[in-house]
Amino acid sequence: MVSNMLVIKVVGETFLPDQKMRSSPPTLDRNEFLGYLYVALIEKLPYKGQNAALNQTETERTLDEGLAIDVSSLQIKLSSSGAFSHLEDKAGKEQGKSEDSTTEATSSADASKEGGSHPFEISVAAMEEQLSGARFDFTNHLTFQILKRFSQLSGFHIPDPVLNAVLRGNKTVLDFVELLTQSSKPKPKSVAEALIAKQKQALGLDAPAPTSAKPKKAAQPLPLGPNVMVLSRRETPVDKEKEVGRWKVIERELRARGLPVLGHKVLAPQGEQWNEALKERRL
Amino acid sequence: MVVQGVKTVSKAQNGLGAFILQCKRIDFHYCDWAGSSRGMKSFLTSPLLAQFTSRYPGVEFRVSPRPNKHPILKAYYINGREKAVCVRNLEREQILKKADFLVANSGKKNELIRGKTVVSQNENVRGIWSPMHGGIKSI
Repeated sequence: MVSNMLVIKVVGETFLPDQKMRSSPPTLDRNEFLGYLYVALIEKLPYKGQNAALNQTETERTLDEGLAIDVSSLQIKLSSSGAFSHLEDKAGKEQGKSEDSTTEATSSADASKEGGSHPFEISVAAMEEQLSGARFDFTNHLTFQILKRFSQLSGFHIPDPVLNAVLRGNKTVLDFVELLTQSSKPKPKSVAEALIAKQKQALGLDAPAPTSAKPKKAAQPLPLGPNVMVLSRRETPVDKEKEVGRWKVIERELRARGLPVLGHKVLAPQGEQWNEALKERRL
Repeated sequence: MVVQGVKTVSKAQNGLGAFILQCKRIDFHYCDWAGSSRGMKSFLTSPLLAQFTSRYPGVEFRVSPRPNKHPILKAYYINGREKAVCVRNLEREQILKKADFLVANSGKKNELIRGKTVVSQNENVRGIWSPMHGGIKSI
């Protein structure tokens, strides 16, 4: 299971999937999700072309088995309704690129002998171009195989609300990737954390993603002014005393009288030694 | 007999010359866990909070959790009184209305106004003066 894991590295505008064990929970960005989805599609869609090796593999191929599959020459074909149909060869297009990819393939073949990895490169724009306008056909069992493989590759469980939104809203695959990216971001657990994070973002203290997040920065939140105070825990009577500078005095006097400063933690039951001592003091 | 007006200066009161907002502080309390704070949490995390607080730079706003309690707005006034409004299960727009009500409030006890069409601090027992009635003088 783990040996089938593919990790896609983003190198500039290019993906380089290679084999690696994933130990930490996934924190993926949009491009990584897109890459994993692309790999899942390449693995699961039926192939209709000239390559004999690919024809044999049908839908059971995996990219890390050391197969000499030239992925960059493959193209995802859509049906008229926008659902995924099959894979095809790019017929003689972009000769220069295919030469590059063959060198990649040979180097990867060497690598596969040693470590079993099978890297390939494809640009984000090329993937978006192929996936633009595509929709999942939820009546087809292949869709669920693709999504399952996508989950295995990315190590990210697709939340039901996301699938539901895609199904009910008839959203495209690129919308699906957007929704996944949003849902994969860790959400703040408390309102105070959310407010503090928002304030940091508004003031520009939060280290933002340098290039990719810039178009969305148009909706910059309005920062909270100096008249707003956000507390992360309940405001206690002690806090109120501290605010007016009375707490030190109260604490000192309580200690001087041998009284508990922050109240009784464990009250002694009736008839205990504690109670007897109190009675004696009263007498 | 010549009628002479009584020479007086304007009596100092809020709004004459300067208006001082009577509310000095508003606390927003919520619970992170309970469902009745859903609207309150939505209000606090929405841009509504920043918009509302920026309109009143002279008022202090505090946001603090109050676990296992319903959400409330608590306003403190310069007359020493406090007014608290429970906002459980309210939507954020409704909470904004409550906050608007509290910040503009005088902080006094609620009074029943009945049977008086004109509400004034200086009530005139003889009614509103009219130039068309009474002894018309030529100047």
